[in-house]
Amino acid sequence: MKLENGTILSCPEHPSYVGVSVVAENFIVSEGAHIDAGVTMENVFVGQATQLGNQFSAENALFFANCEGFNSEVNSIFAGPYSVTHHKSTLLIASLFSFYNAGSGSNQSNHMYKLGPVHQGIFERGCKTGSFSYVLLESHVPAFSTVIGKHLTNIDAPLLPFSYITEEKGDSRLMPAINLFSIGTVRDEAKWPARDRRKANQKRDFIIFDVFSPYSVEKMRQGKAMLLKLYEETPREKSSIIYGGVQISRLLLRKGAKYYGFAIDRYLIGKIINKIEKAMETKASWKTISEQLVCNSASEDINEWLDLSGLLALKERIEKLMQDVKDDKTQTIEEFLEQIKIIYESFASDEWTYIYRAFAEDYGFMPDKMTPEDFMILVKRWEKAANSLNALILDDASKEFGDFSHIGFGLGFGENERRADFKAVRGELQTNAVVQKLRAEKEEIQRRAEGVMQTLESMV
Amino acid sequence: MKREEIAERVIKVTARELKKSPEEIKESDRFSYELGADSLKSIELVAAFEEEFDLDLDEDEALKIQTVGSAIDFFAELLPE
Repeated sequence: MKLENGTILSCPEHPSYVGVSVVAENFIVSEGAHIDAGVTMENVFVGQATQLGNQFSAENALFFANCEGFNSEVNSIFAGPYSVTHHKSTLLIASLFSFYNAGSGSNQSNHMYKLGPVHQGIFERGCKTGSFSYVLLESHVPAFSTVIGKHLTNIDAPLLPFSYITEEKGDSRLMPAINLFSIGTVRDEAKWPARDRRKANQKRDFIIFDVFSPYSVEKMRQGKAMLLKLYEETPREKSSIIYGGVQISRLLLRKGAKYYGFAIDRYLIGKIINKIEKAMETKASWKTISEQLVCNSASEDINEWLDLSGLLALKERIEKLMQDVKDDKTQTIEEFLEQIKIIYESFASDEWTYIYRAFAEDYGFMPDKMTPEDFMILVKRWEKAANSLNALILDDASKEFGDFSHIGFGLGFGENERRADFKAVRGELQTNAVVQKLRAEKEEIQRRAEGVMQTLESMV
Repeated sequence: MKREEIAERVIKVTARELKKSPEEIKESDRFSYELGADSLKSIELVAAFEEEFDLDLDEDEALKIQTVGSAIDFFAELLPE
């Protein structure tokens, strides 16, 4: 073991651990971190409950909470929380990640430079890169997207979150919004908060876990408008268009916009339903309910949001904090951290301001000014959106039990044994916990829609 | 719309999107098996049907279409003569 010029933070609630054959120089290790088995690191920050091991090497890198690095190599990366790389031959370089999952052999680089190397990549929150995927930098991969294949084009598509980016015969193709109904996205949403390993009393990362938030929904709103415009502008004879360096099928321009529309409706109307349901518990009148939907925020630009290592924040607030630092209004680290905490605690109210204004823009009336009749139309719209996404996710989950998934089971035996072996290992569609949860969610959508509609009808 | 016309258009769109010749497509063919449409291609295919027949399909309903024949029947019901 060789440790030079480092700080190791630890606490009784969650001791940090630095084990055998670790070589570290210029480093900070946070509470609950576990670094072991031949890790080499230089100029590295290791966040709370992050785990590094199995000859992992890191240089000039920051890992925030709950990251995992094993076997592989990273250089000059900014790894937001839950960034995970487990496999040999994976090299992450000069990029920003957050809630990221690297498949084996994931790699990024820029070998097209002629005036000296410049590497810069942005993989927004929730991205995955498949086995032996390659992304040419500079690239900006949209949030919650999956990259498969080798991409020799600079990808720049931040307004198309929840996409698949694949490669076919050397061409990069993007399928917008398809990850909205991937069972993997649903799993991730539940998995991240459940796997928060931090036990220290003081949690250093302020993490907003929500997959659907102003950060992702605003991108979808802008992405939807852009896709519809592109669809209108593209002649039918063209099978695809180029956008942000990638091909998008012309047919998927409209389809992607439709799927984004479902997710936007489910989020915006769903959040209003949440508030109305709560108010209805007290048998409130429509006037009283409307009063609870008021928004008095003075924020000017509510549409620009940032993901600061897991903290979703209004850009306006971050810019103000930066200006305060420049102007010496925020002078100490303690004052700075206090401001970050305030931004974290403001998320709920900022989110509501966003919802209020986006709702007014998309549906034509402010939440506190609409009538029960107006809202009844929107409840129907929410029900359709939520049911459509639920059906698509359920269909995706069902494929996990299809014939192709049986390949390799009951090897050397007949069909009956193959099915029995699959059932023993993977279970059955009807009894699968995720599928049951999705079916329960479908019933819940109907129950909620009917409940709200009944109450609204009584108010008309 | 007559079933024959719908069948012809369904097969034309299927052939174009899945890169098959119309002659090799049978009504009993399943999109995901005999015709080899993976889940991503299936989404494009549904989008192509929507455009061909100028319809906006319910996702729940569209997911039930598994074969070429069921697609023809589905559109025949939606677009009566």
